[in-house]
Amino acid sequence: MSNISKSLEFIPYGDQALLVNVHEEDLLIANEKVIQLTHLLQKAALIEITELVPATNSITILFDTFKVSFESLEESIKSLLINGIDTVSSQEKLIELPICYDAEFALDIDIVCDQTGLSKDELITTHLGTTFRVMMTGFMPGFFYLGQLPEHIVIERKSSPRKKVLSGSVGLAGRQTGIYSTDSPGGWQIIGKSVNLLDLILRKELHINLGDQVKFKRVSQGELQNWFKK
Amino acid sequence: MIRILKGGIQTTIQETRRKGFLSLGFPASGPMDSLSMMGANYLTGGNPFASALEMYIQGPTIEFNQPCAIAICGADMSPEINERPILQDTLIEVYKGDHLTFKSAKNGLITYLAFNAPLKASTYLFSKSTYLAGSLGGYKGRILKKGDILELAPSKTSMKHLELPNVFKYIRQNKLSLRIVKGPEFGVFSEKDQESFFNNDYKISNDSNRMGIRLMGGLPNEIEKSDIISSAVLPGTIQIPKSGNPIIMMHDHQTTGGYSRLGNVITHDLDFLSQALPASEISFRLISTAKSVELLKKRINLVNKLFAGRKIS
Repeated sequence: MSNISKSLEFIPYGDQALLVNVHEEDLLIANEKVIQLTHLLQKAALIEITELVPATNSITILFDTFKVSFESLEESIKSLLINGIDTVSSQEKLIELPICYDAEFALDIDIVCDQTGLSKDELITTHLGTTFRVMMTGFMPGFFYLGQLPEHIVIERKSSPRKKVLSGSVGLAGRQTGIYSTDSPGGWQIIGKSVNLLDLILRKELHINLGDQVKFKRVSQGELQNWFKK
Repeated sequence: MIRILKGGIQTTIQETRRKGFLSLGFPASGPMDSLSMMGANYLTGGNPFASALEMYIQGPTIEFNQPCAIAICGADMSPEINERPILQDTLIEVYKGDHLTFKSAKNGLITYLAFNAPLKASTYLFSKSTYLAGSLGGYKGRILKKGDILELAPSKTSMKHLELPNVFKYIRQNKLSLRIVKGPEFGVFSEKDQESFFNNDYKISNDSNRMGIRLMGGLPNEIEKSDIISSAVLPGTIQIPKSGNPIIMMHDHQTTGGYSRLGNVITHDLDFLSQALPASEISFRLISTAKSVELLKKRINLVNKLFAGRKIS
């Protein structure tokens, strides 16, 4: 665990949060370190920390400015890292999710093809052929960042976010894909439609954890409606 | 109980911030202009973040089916009871059958209505604050509409008129100069872009809401490297998409974002920003992190001292 401190960068973020960036070429490795550090901090339960927001290659640590300064919080985290912890590896499962690429849902597929030089079929084949990993949650309730697409597919976000993306929309950004769980503004390039994961999670029909694997399966509009009812 | 006869433009129940669930995608919500809400609660005897109605642009029409006391703080909405003007920033006694009406906000966007009894509303993840994008909390997770009925708990505090402390008095600022600290990606921007960011006069866009405030009049050229790997955003985070028009995250913000974070508006100044009208001008100036922490602490200490020293009965 102590070797991870070398790749960490601490940056004051606003007036009551400390950002820890994990610098690793390979995002999957960075993400593993994020999850380790998150577990370490959760276990240590420092009283001055009020909230943790783990992301793909960063953790944002909200803290009580009356209890600790930026500098001493950084010091406490560094000393925790020196002592380290035994990491518990959790059971990761494979989840299959439906996707419909019909033109009425794939609002930005042409833009994505332009950006990558792929044909629609090639793009879809690649999206379906990738086994994604749940790298982080957040953005909105029930949103999971799934990574990652092959190296040659890096998608730029919209130059200005769309004002309303419908729930269930499947978007691409960077080398990640994700499903909008509520109608919301958003800058991801939309290539299809899946199901509303938040509804499924609240109804306890689906459990998703950090580290789980996800594969998409191509379905028709009709099949999409009934995906979790079979 | 009180009955909503007209909903107004966007009236929601707001209460304490919903802390601890950012990692699951839930923003903290709560009041946009916390100073004005705390002011109304100061007068009615509640806690600083006791439940209140947050009213955007034009307030609702309300019929009271019980006597109580209210206070209205924030932008001036020319409130009337039974068609007679009443004062804001002071405690007002209301009788059964009274009708409370509001006109359009004159000098800002948001006004708060607090009661001397807690509003009964649905609690979600330990807060009654309405989170509109998630349709949760408050009154059925939505804005108030004609016909809605809100229950008030029996009033506990006796009515004592207090002077509203200056810190809670809303004053319109024609040209806001917001203080920011450097954001995580500040260094990604060229010196020229940094300079033009601080020299620019931005205008508030119409597309602003409780999630975020969009600005117009961006950097002259498109930003070369605007995307980052998604990371947490917080209230006050200034994201710069490729178009160069900044977006400032507010209290119903998405919890992560993928645009470069040039800076953070300090918590102290977010209340003022929330009241800025569309098309009004905004500029930014840089302060140190140490100074931003000092301002934050000073504000919290002042509020705590005022509430602790308040003599309600």
